[in-house]
Formats: sequence, C-alpha cells, structure tokens
Amino acid sequence: MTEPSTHYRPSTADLVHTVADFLDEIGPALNSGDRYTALVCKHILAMVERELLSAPLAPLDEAALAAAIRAGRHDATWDATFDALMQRTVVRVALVKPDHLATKHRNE
Amino acid sequence: MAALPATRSDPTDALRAAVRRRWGDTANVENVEQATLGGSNRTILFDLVQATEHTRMVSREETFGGAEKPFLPPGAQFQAMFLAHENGLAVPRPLFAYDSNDALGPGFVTTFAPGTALPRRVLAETARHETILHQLAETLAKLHAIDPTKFAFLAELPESGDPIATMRTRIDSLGEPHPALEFGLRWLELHPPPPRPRTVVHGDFRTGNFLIDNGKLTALLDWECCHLASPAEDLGWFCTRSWRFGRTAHHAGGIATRAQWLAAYRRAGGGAITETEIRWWEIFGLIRWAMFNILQGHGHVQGRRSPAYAACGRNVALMEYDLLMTLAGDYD
Repeated sequence: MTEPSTHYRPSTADLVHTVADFLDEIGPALNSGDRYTALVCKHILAMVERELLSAPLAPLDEAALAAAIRAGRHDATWDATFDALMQRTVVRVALVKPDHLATKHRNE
Repeated sequence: MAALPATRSDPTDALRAAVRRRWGDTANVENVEQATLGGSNRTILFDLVQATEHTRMVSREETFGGAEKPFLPPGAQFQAMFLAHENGLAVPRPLFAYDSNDALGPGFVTTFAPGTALPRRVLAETARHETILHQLAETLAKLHAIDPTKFAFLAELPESGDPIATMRTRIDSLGEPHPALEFGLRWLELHPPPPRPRTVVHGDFRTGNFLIDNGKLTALLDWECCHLASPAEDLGWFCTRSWRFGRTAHHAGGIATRAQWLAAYRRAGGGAITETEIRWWEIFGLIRWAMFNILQGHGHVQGRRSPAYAACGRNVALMEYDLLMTLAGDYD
C-alpha cells in the first residue's frame, strides 16, 4: 500500500454509498410518505458522496461579494462577475444534482 | 413529509369538538385523512356527519407561523378566500375559522373540492391543456379585477411593498449570503418593468396549486402568499422555470407558451402585459423560489428538522443556476 493509512476500509464515500443502496432496497416496502422521504435521503447521501470525492469549494467572502453587488460596485465588471458566479454555481450544482446542469456545464 | 411534529396527536377528537361547537352536539366527524404536510400548513380532510348526511371538508392549520415569515396568518387567508369565493372564483368556500376555544389552529375549515393538483398528472393530460389554460386565465383575470380596496388588510404586508427591497430583507433575515441572488436582484433593479397600479394577486399561482377534475378547474388553492402587487407578478410566477416540471418549452406552468398564456389572459378580460414584463417577474420568481428554499433550510438548522427541509437548503444552488442561465439568455 503506497497511500498513508488513515481509517480501515471501506472508505467514507463507500460507507455513504452502502446506506444509499439500503434505502433503495427497502423503498418498495415503505408507505408513500416514507418512500418519498427515503428518496430525499438518497438524494442527500448521493450529494455527500460526491462531496467526499471532489475537491472542496474554494473559500470566498460571499457576504462581501453580495454586499458589493447590491451596492452596484460590480456593475462595471458585470460579465466577469457573472462568469465567476456561474463557475461557483456550476460546482455547487455538480455536487447537489449533476443532472440539472445543461450539457455545456457537465464534467467541467 | 407525512410525519407530524411530535406535539400533533390524532386530530379526530379535536375536530369533533370543533364541529359540535358550530353544528350542534349531534354532529360527528368520519373518514379523517391526513394530507401531505406542506411547507407551512397541516391539511386534514374529514366528513362532517349530520344524521345520514356526509359533507367532505378540509381543515388547514398553520404549522410555521411568525411575523417574519412570508406567509399570511390564517385569519387573513380565510378573509382573502372568502372575498375570492364571493366574487365567483373557483375557490374552496371558507366555512369557519378556529378560535381559542378549539384545540386546533390557528387555521380554518373550508369545503372540499375534487380533483388532482399533482403536476405530473395535470401535465400528462395534454389534450386538456387548452381548456385548462383558458380557465386559469379567466380565474386570474377575475381575481385581478376585484376592487383592491376590499383587500386593504393586505396593504401593509412587506410583499405588498417594493418587491426588490422586500426580497433583500427576506434574504438578509435568513443569515446566509447569496451573491448569485444579489446579482439577479441587481439586474432587476437596473431593468425595471413599467409601473402598474396594485391589484390583489394570489401570490402562489402555479401548477401544483390548483385542482383539476376531468379537465375542469375546480379550485385555486394555497392563498398564504396573497398580497397587493402588479398583476404581472402572478402571470410571471406561473411561467417561472421551476413550475414547468421539465416541460421547459411550455413556459406557462408546463401547459402553454408564454405568448399563448398572455393572449388567454387578455381574452379573459385581463390587461395587456408584454412578454418582457413577464420575464422580469420570472427572474424575480427564481430568486423568490430560492428564498423559500433558503427559508426551509434555515428552519431545518433552527430545529424544524426533516430530510426534505435539509435538502432544500442545498437545492438553492439549482435555482441560482437557472437564474444565471436565464440572465445569460441560455434559458428562455
């Protein structure tokens, strides 16, 4: 083994995936309300798994950015601000629900 | 979603007591059924039984109140529905409001209307969309034509004021910065629509909030966002991308194009509203839908916990994406 050891197997992402698979298995046996909640839980676990397997979102002072946009201080750099926001939003959507992205933003 | 908060027990005894206060000691309740718990309400269906006569009714209670929330208190919802019903709209008839002597509420009881609100079922019946569109346009035109002074009790709501300023206040109160939403709000500010006199608007007019029974509109539901605003707000909210449920080329609730919707509204006696103006309200609508999801995520973190509300907090990114794609002209 070349990687330095941390936890024993399975990996954290694998653990999450295992619970998601279990929710899939029991889905048909649940009443409609619980089946819906189980689907939501699967959605949440899939999100967590993707997050574990990807690089963290770069920290940014979003409060300052929001305030500056509100004050009109980004009006002169509108397109560049748009591009920066879009890039960050695409990263978030790719974690939350990759299917939601238009083709041009997939696998970026 | 179907699970009730721990403090809510079986409502049958409380319902029976409430109807006996109004219809006398021989009245009873049967067939009590809990509908899915909505974002801010609990809905219970039941039969009022008097001798052998059964009358289906709907109880609606606020579960997520507070002045800082963007939802009308039940008393004002009751009043708005009463006025809408009185003016001939397809609305469940309000019967009575709970008071402090009831073990239920705050909330009220209305008549039951048949039909489905499920977007997937409504949207699947494409052959009926033209008729449904016409009925929706008529309903909305009729609502917008009611003398707004009758709805004076809505005049001081934040939502009845400047939409951009109110939205900023709402987002600020939820304790999480959203630069993409600010970007959308700034765009709206720089491209204002023509001013219009305020009318009463439903405030949540969308696929999923009206009942269709055999191709007929039987009831416009969910009056908790009713306020005074430009009538274009209702028309634009209906076209907001999130309410197309995947039928994205059918801008108007997945049912018709934007042009068909505006023409139907005009034919039904509504004002002449342009597509440009509607698009402004669609951008606003995406920001508004994002704010509602931030609100649910915020509620989850504050202790009103559920998987669905937790997911809402993260799902905000999806609306921000749609907003940016729409501003860029990639989405129509």
